[in-house]
Amino acid sequence: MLVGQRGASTLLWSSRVVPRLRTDCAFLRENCATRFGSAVARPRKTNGSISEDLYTSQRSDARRDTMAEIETAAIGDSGLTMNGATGQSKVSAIKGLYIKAATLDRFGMAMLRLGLASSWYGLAA
Amino acid sequence: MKFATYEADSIVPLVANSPFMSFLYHYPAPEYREHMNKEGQAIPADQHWNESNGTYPVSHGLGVIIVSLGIMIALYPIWPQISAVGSFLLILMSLTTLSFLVTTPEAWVPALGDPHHGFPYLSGAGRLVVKDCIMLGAATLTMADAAKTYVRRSA
Repeated sequence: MLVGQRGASTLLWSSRVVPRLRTDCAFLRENCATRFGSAVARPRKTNGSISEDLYTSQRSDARRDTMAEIETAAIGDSGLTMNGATGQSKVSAIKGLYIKAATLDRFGMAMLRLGLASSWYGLAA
Repeated sequence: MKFATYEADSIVPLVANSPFMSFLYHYPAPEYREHMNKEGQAIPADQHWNESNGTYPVSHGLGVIIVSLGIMIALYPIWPQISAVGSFLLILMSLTTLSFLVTTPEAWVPALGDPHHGFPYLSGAGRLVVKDCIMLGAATLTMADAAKTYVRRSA
C-alpha cells in the first residue's frame, strides 16, 4: 500500500468515509497524465484547504467523476506525489504524524469557532 | 508581560492550585492568599514572599516559553515543520491553561453574598483563562496548515 496515497485519501475524505485505496500505480500514472499532462499529479490549488476544495466547490464535480479520478485528484491536491509515481515511497513515522496533523484542519476550524463562542460568553455575555 | 511583577503575582493562584504546575512553587496553596498584591501595588513583604516562593523565576520561564513558541510558529514560511511543532506545543499549553478553570477556585466568582457566584459566573481570572479556547482552536488550525505545507514541500 502506498503510504502517501493513504494519507491523500485520508485528507480527501477527512475520516467521514472509509478511504478506498488503490495500488495500481500504472493506472494512477495514466490518470495523472491525462488529467494534468504529467505523470506526477500537481496541486490544482497551491493554497487553501484541501477538504474545503473537495467538500464545497469541487464536491459536485467529484460526484460526477469516477472513484479512480477522485483518488488521483486527491493525490494531486494534497501534494503527496508519489516519488516519481513509482509507488515505492516509505514515509517515516514522523512524517506520518505530520500527515495525521494535516488532516486536522476542519477540526481546528471547529475548535476555533467553539473557542470564539465560549470566549464570547466569558468576556462579553 | 510575564516579566512584569504584577503579572507574575497574578498567576500565582492559577499555578499554585494546579496539580500539574504547583511543584514549581515552594509554598503550597492556599498560603499565597495572605500575600496577594493588587495590580500596581508594591508591598515589600509580599514581594519578598513571592521571591522566596519562586514566583518570578517561574513567570520568567513561562515568558521565555511563550516567546519561543511564538517564534516557532512564526517560522512557518521557512520551516513549516518547526511551526507545526510550535503549534502542537501551544495546544498543550492551552489545554494546561484551560485546566485552571477546574483547578483554581478563584476562576469563579466567590460566594460573598451575591446570588451570582460559582459556576458559570467567571471571575476576572476565569475570563483571563477562558480566552485560551481561542488559542486552542487557532493552534490546532495552524498546526494542520503547517503540517500540510511541510508534507507538500517534502513530497
